[in-house]
Amino acid sequence: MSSITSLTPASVLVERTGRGLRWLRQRLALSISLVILIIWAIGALIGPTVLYYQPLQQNINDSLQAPGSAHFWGADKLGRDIFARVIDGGRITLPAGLIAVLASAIIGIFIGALAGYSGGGWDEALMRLTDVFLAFPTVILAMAVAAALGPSVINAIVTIAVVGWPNYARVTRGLVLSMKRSEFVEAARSIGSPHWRILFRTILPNCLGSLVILATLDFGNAILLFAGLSFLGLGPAPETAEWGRMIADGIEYSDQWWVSAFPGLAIFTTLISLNFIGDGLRDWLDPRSRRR
Amino acid sequence: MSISIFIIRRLLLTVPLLIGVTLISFILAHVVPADPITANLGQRAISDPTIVAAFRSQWGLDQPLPAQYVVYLRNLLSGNLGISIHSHRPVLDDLRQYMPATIELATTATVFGVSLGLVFGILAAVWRGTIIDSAARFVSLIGISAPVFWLALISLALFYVRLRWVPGPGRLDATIPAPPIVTGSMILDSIFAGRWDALRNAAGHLILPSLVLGSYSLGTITRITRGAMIEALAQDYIRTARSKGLRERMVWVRHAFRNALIPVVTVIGLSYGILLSGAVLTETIFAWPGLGRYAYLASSTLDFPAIMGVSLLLSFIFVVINLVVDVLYYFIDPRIRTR
Repeated sequence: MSSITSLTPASVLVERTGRGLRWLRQRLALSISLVILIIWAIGALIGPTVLYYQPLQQNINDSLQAPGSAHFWGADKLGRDIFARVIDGGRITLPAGLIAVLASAIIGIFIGALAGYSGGGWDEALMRLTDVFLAFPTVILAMAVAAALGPSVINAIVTIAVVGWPNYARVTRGLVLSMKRSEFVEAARSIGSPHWRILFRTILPNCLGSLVILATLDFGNAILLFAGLSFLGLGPAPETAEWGRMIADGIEYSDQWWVSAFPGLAIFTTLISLNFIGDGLRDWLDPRSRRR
Repeated sequence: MSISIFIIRRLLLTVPLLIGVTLISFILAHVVPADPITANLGQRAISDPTIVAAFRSQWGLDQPLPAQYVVYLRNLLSGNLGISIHSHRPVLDDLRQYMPATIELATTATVFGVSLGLVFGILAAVWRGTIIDSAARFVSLIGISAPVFWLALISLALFYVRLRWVPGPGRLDATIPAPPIVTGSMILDSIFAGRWDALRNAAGHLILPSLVLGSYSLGTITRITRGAMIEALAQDYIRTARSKGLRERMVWVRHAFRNALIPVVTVIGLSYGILLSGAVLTETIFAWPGLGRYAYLASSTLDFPAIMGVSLLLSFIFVVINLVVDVLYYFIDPRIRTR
């Protein structure tokens, strides 16, 4: 690409080393991201069985103790160990985000594929419905749904699925439309495949790459929204060790920064990792973006 | 197609969209298992059947749902959004009171995010692969990945509680009398009233929430600008411009950036819309009396008229912003005009 442009040899060299460094850094960032995610996942799975403190264990004498030898990341108002709670917190946040993303993806892909494949009136109706949900302010809709259903983990997941599906519907419809007229679909049609087979066996598997990228990046959004709902008290019960909930615990203790700093750090590192992995997946699956 | 026909056509298309929004919020508010009576009446009042019955008939809760919806739409057409169950005031008055604070906050946040985001994005693209690029991408990644409510709490703890660089939550110190309300924007009202003390104080209160709220826009706009600029800079016309002997800065701004504008403008519009509606958490933490906090109060008390009013207003704003973005396309890209 760059070899045909009017660059001087020196800058070509610079560009090449730059590209090499970028390649290395991308792999490095990707590996670190994966390691971070794996650490949170393992922590969520086995944390309470190996850690000294239990996430719900109160040690009232240690109330609001600063990070130190007794409590690695400090303790909250009830003397609960923040490190143990943050490690355990992923047990709720990560699966909740994952299930919510899967649910919105399934709903959205189904609606988008139906609209794109059938066209005409169905397309028009389903896409107008999607537009309405897209126009509805996400956070307000989420809050209203969560408040109406009542605060619980399941309801927060339902909420995120309700506000999350339109993006998948739009993207899937676009992908299906662009593939509907392609030759391999024409071929499937000419050998007499039924519609459902063409849609689910021929078209959708070819859309999967783009949808996986979308879902990876959206996983982060789902975690953010879940933590936000939880922060507002529209998620798990107050005493639960959950990242968003724990940040809310720190509201009254601005001098004791560790109460909300560490759970936030957990969300932050998870999201950065997911962003890197999403970008990495895109580079891998979409050669067009690899040059950037 | 002339610009006025274009705008009128787009405006007409928004009508069914808004009706759809009312329908969703209506269904949401009425089909869910939660009971507005337990949310709004005290324990004692619930045990009294006459009070409960009076409450039901006052809010039309005793009529069938389709009838309730028709009544709601008819009121809406005459500009009546209903009475808030929680504040006992017309929802329209509530919205009018809370909206300026949100617009003020979202606008300053967007100005911050857009101005820095554009600069970072352009610099990162022009010096791709250098330390500048890495720094810009790192800042953008932080903006995208940090939960806004976490940033809000941490920055309050650091810059207000510890360092005392900025005033605390709220729009104005309690010791300073508020200027008379003209626009509802504390900054503008202070200027109109010539109250420089209030202006300085209000501006101080605005800084931290704007930076926190704008961090997400900063992240996305940097990212999109960078991507679009890199794409534009790889085009043949850039080589032509360079070979003409044009100054490098001219090439970036006049040739590359103008062609990168379409995705950038889209994201700016989108993020302004998101900031207007998504300020719930920031407003809650900074005790900012805006629409987000109003919406949060409304949904936690299951105040249907208020929830529907806020959703309708914000959807309308969102639709208008999209329209403005489309009109901007019309001016940015001559090819769209001929379609």
